[in-house]
Amino acid sequence: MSTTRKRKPSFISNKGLVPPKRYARRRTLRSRSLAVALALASALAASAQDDELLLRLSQQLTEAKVLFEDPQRQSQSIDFLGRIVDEIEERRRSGGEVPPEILDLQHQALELRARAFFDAGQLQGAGDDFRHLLLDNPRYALNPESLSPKIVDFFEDQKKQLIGYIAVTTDPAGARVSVNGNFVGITNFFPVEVHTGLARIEITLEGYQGYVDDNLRIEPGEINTLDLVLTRTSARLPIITDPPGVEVVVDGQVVGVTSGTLPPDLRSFMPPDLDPSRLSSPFELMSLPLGQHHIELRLKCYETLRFPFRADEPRDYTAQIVKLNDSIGRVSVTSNPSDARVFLDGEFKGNTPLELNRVCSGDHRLEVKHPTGKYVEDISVGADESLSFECPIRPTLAVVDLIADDGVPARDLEDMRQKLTAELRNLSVMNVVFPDADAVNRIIGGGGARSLVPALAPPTAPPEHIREASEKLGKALEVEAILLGHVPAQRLTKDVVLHFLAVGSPAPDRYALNYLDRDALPAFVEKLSMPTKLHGSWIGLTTVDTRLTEGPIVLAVDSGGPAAKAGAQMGDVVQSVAGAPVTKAVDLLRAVRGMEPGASLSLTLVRGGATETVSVTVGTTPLEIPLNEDGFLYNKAIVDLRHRMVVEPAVAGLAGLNVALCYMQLGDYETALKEYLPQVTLAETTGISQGTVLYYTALAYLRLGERAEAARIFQQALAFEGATIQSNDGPRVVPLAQRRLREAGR
Amino acid sequence: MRKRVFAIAVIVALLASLSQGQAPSDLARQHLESGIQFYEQQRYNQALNDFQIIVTSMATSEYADDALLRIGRYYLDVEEDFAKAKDNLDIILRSYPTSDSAPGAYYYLGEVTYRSDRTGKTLDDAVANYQRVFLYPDNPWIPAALYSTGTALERQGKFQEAVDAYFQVIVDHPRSEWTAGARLGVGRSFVRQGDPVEAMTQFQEARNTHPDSREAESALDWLTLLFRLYGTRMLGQNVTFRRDPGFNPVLKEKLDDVVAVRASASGIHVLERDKKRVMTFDRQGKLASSQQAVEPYGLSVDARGELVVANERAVTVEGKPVTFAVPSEKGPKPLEKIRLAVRDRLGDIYVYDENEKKLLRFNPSGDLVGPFPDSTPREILRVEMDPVGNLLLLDKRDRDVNVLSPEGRAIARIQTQKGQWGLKKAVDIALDPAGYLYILDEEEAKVAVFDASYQFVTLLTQQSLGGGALTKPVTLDVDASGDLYVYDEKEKAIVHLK
Repeated sequence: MSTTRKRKPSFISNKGLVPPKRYARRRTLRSRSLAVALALASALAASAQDDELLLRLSQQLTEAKVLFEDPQRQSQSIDFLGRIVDEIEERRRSGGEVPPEILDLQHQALELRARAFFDAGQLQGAGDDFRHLLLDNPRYALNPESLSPKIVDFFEDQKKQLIGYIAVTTDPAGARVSVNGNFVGITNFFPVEVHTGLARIEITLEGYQGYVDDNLRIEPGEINTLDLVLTRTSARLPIITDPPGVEVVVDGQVVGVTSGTLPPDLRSFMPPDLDPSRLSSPFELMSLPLGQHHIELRLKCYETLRFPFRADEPRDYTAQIVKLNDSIGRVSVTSNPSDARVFLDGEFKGNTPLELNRVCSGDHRLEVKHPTGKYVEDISVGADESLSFECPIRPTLAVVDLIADDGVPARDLEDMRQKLTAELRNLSVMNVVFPDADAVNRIIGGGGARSLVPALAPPTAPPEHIREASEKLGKALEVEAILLGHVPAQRLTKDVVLHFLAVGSPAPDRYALNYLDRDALPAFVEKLSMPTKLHGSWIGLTTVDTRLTEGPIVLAVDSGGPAAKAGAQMGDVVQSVAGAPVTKAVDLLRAVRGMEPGASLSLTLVRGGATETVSVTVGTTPLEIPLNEDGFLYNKAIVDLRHRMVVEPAVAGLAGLNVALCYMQLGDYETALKEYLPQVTLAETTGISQGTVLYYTALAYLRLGERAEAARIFQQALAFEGATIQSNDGPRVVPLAQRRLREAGR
Repeated sequence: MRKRVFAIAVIVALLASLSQGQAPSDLARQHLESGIQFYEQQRYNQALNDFQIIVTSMATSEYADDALLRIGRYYLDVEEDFAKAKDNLDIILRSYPTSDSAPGAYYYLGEVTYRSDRTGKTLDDAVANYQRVFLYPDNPWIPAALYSTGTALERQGKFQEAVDAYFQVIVDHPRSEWTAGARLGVGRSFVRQGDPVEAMTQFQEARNTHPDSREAESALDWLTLLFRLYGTRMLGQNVTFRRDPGFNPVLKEKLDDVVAVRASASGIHVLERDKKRVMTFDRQGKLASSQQAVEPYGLSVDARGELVVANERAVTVEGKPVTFAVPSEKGPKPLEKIRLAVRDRLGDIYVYDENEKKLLRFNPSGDLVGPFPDSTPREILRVEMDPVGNLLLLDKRDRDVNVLSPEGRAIARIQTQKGQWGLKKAVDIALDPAGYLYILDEEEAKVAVFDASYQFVTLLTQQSLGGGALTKPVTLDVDASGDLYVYDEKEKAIVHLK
């Protein structure tokens, strides 16, 4: 018998089925104890307990099956199976979700026991167990092929008493049907088994008014048919986009992404100005509640489209066909030096100079990488905007860690870290990165970051360790310099010693400061910011002080120098510089050093009793880094100058000479000789010149103990009569080389 | 008494430490700090007590070597007792050879040898000790050792090697306290090597890099001196002095019978024989002091800047008269016609007695060492001593200047009446800091200048000496910057020529 209904949804009171009483009867004393024990177990331990239960009961079921299969002992299996059933029942009663594997065990045990009961002629027991199964799962079925027809029929008889059928069709189809809270199927479906009795049926479909019937009576064996027309409560709006892949946002919530291609049958309906091949398949906005909505369509590299949509009626609306406009800009990237690799948002795009003609509007991270450093900038590109970026490549400094001795309060250390980090962000001449300390230690290996500090390195560390570790770190992190802080055990002062190490250097610079001095860190950063000077102001005038005159007397005038061109002569007495009286030669020196090359400097000279003012155009002199100077950051100079060797080819030679001098100052004569000095060729003139290079080359050989080679090159240096060191006004190379020759000969 | 006081101090210190439960090293450190403080206050006895306590009672403490070093330094610098200094320093090297003080001990041993050397023969030993300082890498004595090596080599006349040593200070230790001095050393050495231009460059560099130092002032003197002699000639000009009108001593009566003018750091000293006094003027000609002298005949300034007055029967040194005697058949015969006296760096006094007609050398205790250079009778008009201890004698008869080493070896002889200088009557000799010799001609008011190797440099004529400021100069001296101070008998005034 079936019942067909077509009616509007109505509310019916909720009445559920009563659990069979026999469950209460079948609880044995043993099962009760077990249930109590299980009930006492903590919820957290339930999972582990269930695993143990499953394993044990599986084993018991296996044993029970052995008995069951043996016709002589099948009846003995009943108790075995009973224990399994009862234990699982206790578990079910203890609360919490029961894993389906355990339920399945119970069902297996119930079926076997039912069959055992049946074979033993205990039909009551068999019936109870089959009914139990059916109550758990109204669609439970025996395998008729492996069982006797009698038992199958017996089972079906039980089923008929407990099971009815329900078939639901809805208009539209696709509704979800639940009976007594259990999902039954999606309309439209053929009759499915449900328990007899009063049932609560719920039919729901998004966008439609739901249907509930609390008093659906299911008769045993009868088919209950429901045929419903669902009342629409929402609107439906298809959206088609050009291109596909557009994110659809409704009232601020992302609801999906358009995709696919337009079905051929829809193409003819599209506006003629659209290319159907670029259109997506319709994206259905189902179940749009009635009312006003804000719809947003977003796709990277396209302009976001926003439009309001008002659903006045619960119906299908005409599809919105939307073509998104490109939102791209153009980015032109140049760098100094060029041929740097350009990455946009981590993706390699090419080498500078580079034109990127299709850059999506929005925020991007631009990285320009070169062996001597990189340039990083977060950029924002607008639609149709053309941007140009001239990227000065800068060295990168990795701030590795602050290492504290025992006894330094953690709070102090953290405070120092924060101050250091904040202050270093003001450093504009280098990129600053803060790598993870653990990662750094892994890269370096061995003693970790500590081993970069000579005083903290393990005594067994090989001499080349610092250089090699710095090179590993430099390569892995793509940095040119490393900064590490050491906080010694504190007494009254709060000292920090900062160690600045150029990648590839044998030893770091050491800079101690009292971090309580608020000017100390800014002073350090300023020191790092100061460029290493390669040139100084110079006018080519040597003066001496005497008691014979008020001002210094010109002892020598560099022929061709600025002072010579201005007409200064030996014997002139310098009376004033730029109008300020001069009484000492050092005053004149300071005045010159304070001028920029190219500036005009007026000198008042006294010659033979007459006064003459000349205008000197300040020139430049190459400079060497100061040697053996406390506080000079030689590693920082290495970083600076290695960079300048690449970006300023005009000074590559002088920069290379100075890098070599830095290495020599750090005791690494070998690197100076192998990597830098051979590449340096200066003019064969006076002042800092090729003679200077030869002198230092020979000196490096001398320090390495290669006296013969040193002597040979010192001898070559003697041919450069006018060569000097330090600056064009510095000591002459020839007497120095002669002195070193004597040293080499000893 | 002193030993008893010291012993009591030791016991008291020990008891104090025991009662306070102090660790010996703490106590030793306290004594060291106390001793250093006393030393700086020039309370040397107390300082010595503190140091001795450490050495005697806490010899195993980590400060014992420091204490020994300071004791050694005390004997070297304050008492100039080289033997005791050496004894204490040797203990460091025997008992604490690996201590921080060991290189300092070697350095001071070098100093002991250097300062006690008279003839230059032991300077190699001094250099050897300085070099031993380098056995201890990166110790703070290295720049001092390098500098002192330079001075020792300089004194030995090894000027090129001296430059090398000084340059090592300049290049390797540009910020040390020895660098300015090293620059001066380089300059001096270049002067002695006959390269005044390079010397001037170095002296100026000392001023440029250490503008506020004492060495800067000294460098200025050198520059003035050198530029006057060489710079002007490089300009094609003659060396010219002009009279300083500002130097005009105002006295109640004019100077008369001035037999010696001597310049030192403390002023211009003038010996008036008739008035039996030594007057000292400042650089502006203002009278600073006037001291009576007993029968004064000669005046010199020793290496320390002390006045040495040759009185007829004594020599007054540091205000104290010292008499001298020579052996004779009848026993010690006092010198009664002392006319000249000079004192060397180590306190030996060379005395010329007109009766003996010899230059006689006496040790600091006044004992006769012997005639210098030999017993040959001489008539000496003037005696001067150069910075390395060579003696220059102006012979009264032939007016030659003989230069003799401290051992009496003849180094040079300048025949003042011959040569392109051709002085008519040499009456006085003077040396400037560069070792340049100035010989004064009384008759023609000229000065012949010779360099430190006794090679002729230039002749200062009457015209170039203040444009005829001198008429009858009888005595002169040269100050640190090469200015001349000449007593003109006709004008009866000290003429300052600069």
